[in-house]
Amino acid sequence: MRGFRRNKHGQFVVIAALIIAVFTLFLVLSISKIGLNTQDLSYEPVQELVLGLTSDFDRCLTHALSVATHEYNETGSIEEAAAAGNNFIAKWVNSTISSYSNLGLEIILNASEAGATNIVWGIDWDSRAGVSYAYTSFSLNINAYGFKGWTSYSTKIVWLNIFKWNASTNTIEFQIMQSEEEGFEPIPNLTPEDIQVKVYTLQTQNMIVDIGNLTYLGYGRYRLTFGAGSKEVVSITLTVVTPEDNIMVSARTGGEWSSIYLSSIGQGLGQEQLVPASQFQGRNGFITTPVSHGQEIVEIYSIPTDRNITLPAEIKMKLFFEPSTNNTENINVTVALGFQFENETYWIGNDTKQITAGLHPYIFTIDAREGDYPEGYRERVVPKGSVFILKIVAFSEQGFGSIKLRYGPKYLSRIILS
Amino acid sequence: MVTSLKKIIKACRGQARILEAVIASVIIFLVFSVAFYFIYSSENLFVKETIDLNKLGYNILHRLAESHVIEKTIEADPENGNASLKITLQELLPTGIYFNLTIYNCTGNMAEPYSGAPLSVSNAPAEVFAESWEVASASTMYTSNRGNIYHLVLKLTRG
Repeated sequence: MRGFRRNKHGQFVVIAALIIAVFTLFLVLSISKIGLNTQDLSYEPVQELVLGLTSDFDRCLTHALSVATHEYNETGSIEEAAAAGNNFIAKWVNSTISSYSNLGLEIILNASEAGATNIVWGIDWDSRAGVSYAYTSFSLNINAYGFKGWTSYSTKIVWLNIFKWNASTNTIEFQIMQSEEEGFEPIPNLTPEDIQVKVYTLQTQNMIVDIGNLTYLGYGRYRLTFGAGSKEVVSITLTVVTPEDNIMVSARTGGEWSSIYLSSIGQGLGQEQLVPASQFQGRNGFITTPVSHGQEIVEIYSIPTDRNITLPAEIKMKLFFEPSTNNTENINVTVALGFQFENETYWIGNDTKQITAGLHPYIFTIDAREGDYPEGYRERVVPKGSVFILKIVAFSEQGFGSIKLRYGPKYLSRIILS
Repeated sequence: MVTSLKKIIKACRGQARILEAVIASVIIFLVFSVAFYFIYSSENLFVKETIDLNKLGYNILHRLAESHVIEKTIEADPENGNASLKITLQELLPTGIYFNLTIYNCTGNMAEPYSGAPLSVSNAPAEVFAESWEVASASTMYTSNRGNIYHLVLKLTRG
C-alpha cells in the first residue's frame, strides 16, 4: 500500500487531462461566442432581396411589353410605344426605390440612345414573321448591406410566324412562341378570342373577319379557318394577344424586309447573315470583331432582296456589343450600311459609338438621304436583287483586343428598314 | 510469501494506472459534454430558428409571386379576396406559425407611388407580434399581370 501511495507517476496523466480540459473549454466557449456574434450580424437577406427584385423585374418587363404593344397597335408609332413601355418601367423603378429607401437601394437604368442604352424595344409586325420584343438591363446597389454592382438582364420576346396561307380555303397555319429563361416555349392555350384576322380584298382593306375554327397542332402551331364571304382575299394580317401576359403580336402575308436580322445560317464560324424575319434562326451567337487602328474590318451580307425597298429617311441599327476586356475607354465602333447591286457597292451611311464595359445594346442612326444609289432609281430606293452589307470597324489608340457583336433571339441585333 | 506480496504490490501499481486513466477519461468526457452544450445552447438555436423563419418568409413570398396568387385573390375578387389569400397562406405555412401579410399598392404616380390604404391579412391574435421574442420579416415587390405594383411585407412568428 505504501508503494501504491508513493507511486506518483500516474498523476501526471490526470494533470495533463485537466490541462486539456481547460484548453478545450476555453476554445469551445470562444468559438461558440464568435459563432453567435457572426450569426447575429451576418443575416442580411441580400440574396433573397436581389432574387425577388430581379424576378419581379421580369414581370415588370412583361407588362411593359404588353403596354407598348397595345400602344403600338393603337398608334402605329414605335416611339409612342417605347415611351409607354419606358414609363411603366420608370414607375416600377420609382416604386421599388421608395419601398426600399431604408436600405439605400439604387437602381441605375439608362434609356438614352446616345451611348450604351439599357432598354431596347422591337415591334416588327410587317412581315410573315412578327415579333414583339423588349430587352432591359439595370444595375443594382444595396448600400445598407454594402452590396454594389449587381447587373440584371431581362428579355421578353413573342414570335408569330405564318407558315401557310391558303387563299382559296381561307386557312392559315401559324406558330406562336415566347421566350423562356433559355430559348423558346410554345404558347399552347390560344382561344379564338385571343386572335384577330384582318383581310385585304380587292374591294376593302382592314376588314375584320369571323374566325371559324381553331385547331392546335402541337408545339405552338395552329390551323385557323376564317370566313371572308365570296371576296377574293389578297393578303391577311393575323394579330394575337397572348392569354397569360396580354402581349400583342402581329404578322401579315405579303410584307417582308421591314427589318433585317443578324442570324446564324449554319453551325460554324462565319455563318452569319442578315435575313428578313421569316428566315430568322432561333440560336444565340456572336461575331468577334478585332480592335485595331482601323485596318481590321468585319463585313456581314444579307440574302438578295426580292423587291425594291424604299428606305426610311433615318435608318436605325440596334446592335448588341460586348467588349472582351474591361479596358474599353477608348474603343470606338463604326458601323456602315451599304448594298451591292450589279457588281457595284453603294454606301448609305455610317455612325460611330463609343463602347463601354459590359454587354449593351447600341442604336446607330444613319441618314439614308445622304447615301449613294444606283442611277435610274429614286433616292433611298434599294433595287430588287441587291445584297445589304453591314461593315463594322472597331478601333482604339492601343489597337488590340476584340469586341463581340451578339445576335439571336435574346440579343435581337437588327436593322430597321421601314 | 515474500514473492507473492511483491506480486500484489506490482498488481496494485497497475490498478492505480487504470484508476488514473479512468479519472482522465471522465474529465475529458465531462468537458466534451459541456462543450457540446455550449455549441448547441438554446440561445444559439434561437438565433438559428429566427434565421429559418426569415428564410421561410422569403420562400412564402416567392411562392405567392410565382403562382400569381395576388391576381387570383385580391385582384380577381376585391370583396372576398382577403379570405382566399388568408386560406392560401395558411396552407403554405406550417401549423403553429402566425403571419401578417401587408400589401402596399405602389402603382401611384412618380411623386407619390403609394396609393390607398395598405391591405393586411393575418391569422395572429392581437399583440402576438409585440409580445413575441422571435419575429421574422420578409419583403418583396410584385408586379401583377394587370400592371399593379405591390410591395409585400410578411411578418412571421411562432405560436
